[in-house]
Amino acid sequence: MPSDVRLIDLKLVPPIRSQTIYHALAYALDPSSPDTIILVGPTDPYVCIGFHQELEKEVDVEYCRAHGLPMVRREVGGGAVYLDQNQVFMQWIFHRGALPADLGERFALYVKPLVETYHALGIPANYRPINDVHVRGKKIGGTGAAQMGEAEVVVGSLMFDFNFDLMARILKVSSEKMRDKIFQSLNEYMTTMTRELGHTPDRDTVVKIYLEKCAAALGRDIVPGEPTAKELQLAERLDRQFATDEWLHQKGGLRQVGVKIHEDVRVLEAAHKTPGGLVRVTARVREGRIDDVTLSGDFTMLPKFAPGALELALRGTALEESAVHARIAEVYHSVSIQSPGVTMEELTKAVMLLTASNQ
Amino acid sequence: MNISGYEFPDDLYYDKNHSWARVSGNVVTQGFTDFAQKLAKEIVYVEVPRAGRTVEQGKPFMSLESGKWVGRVMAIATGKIAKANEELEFSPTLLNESPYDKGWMVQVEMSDADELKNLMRASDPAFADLIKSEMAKYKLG
Repeated sequence: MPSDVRLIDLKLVPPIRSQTIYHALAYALDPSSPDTIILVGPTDPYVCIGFHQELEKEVDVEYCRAHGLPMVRREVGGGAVYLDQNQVFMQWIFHRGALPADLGERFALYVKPLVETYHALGIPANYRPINDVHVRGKKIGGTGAAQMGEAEVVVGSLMFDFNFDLMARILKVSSEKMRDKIFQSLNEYMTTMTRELGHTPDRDTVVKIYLEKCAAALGRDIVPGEPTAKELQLAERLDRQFATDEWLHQKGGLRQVGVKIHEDVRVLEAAHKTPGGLVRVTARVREGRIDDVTLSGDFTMLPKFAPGALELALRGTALEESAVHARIAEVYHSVSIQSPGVTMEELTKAVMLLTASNQ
Repeated sequence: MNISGYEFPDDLYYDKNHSWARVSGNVVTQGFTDFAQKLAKEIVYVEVPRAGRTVEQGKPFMSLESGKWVGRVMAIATGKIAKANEELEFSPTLLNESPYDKGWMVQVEMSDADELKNLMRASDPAFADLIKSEMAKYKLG
């Protein structure tokens, strides 16, 4: 007979605790501990970065400080994210043997009740391997995982609503054009329950559905419980540790080039110095094709509408040198573009620099 | 030796955390097994430890990331790290592509050779049982 899963519904807690609590349960886990699902949200907005990220390289620290946004490093992978009360985090802290060891299977299991909850609400969500949940090609939340002590942890959120503007604002980006493109892309390629339903559903109703779906997916009963004194003590210690500069500012080498909007969509920027001036290419790439692109810089190009014509022509083009060059050449000839010092080849090179960073 | 589709070279030692050890004198080279790398999928980052650091058998000493999963690597032997594979910082997928060769992680100057008794050989029935039970538990294969 499988054992029960403990449910700890903390509702709202301070930002740092919304992260430290699952770390504490994971590190406190011993053979007698139950597998646990925590439901929690932050009392105030904050920014959370991945374990292997370097804060200063990923986040506009100055902006966050000026606006009183705490920054927290988690021990789970992935990138920087803005979080607030409009998400309910579901944190699974399980014994290693209680979850599939294969990462794909583990995420699939975690995502199943999430997808089914959205279905029950009338939202046609689907699992997009390896760890996204999509609705008609738009992401409605991601997931992350980590091994902590003897525990395996999987985290994600029920996306009631999301502040796209602040998500784009807190990231450190190479130009404001890049930020605009990120904001636009988040709007186009992310969604929320509020957007899908036209209203924000009641938290308790959604959580109730989610827990029923979890019990079914796991084949186990989910029973309300509380953190133990040992777990709470550890959470308090981690609250202090996570607040230190040593923890927050530790060097991380995970390079995430551009900004990943979801599994298939990434916003990238490249700059290329040509004899005619700097050419900056800011693009959204979807499944290997240019989905949207902006050309800027200090070069001269005539007629005036030429950059716009090139941008339009490049949409849908495979991000491959021959395809990009052919499309650029087509526009150069049809519009009789004059761009001193910026040849078709130079422009192609500028666009293809996106791929150098598109890994 | 091939166990249920996963390669485990006969000349290596193995632990329950899915690391391998190649022993040469008192130097132990450690890496991730074929089984481990397949479970973890594509590795996107490896936090390479610095040489000179002391590690303890069974305790975590480095981390890696794949598909938003952060995993810990437990030391296969106690001792001092003599050398770390810095190439992994630039090419983390070496762990996937060449788990028993170019994807090695660290070389440790072992301080207690008796610890090898805690490890297994691919030919040990206990090792095959471990892999098979892991596969059954996780519904692989």
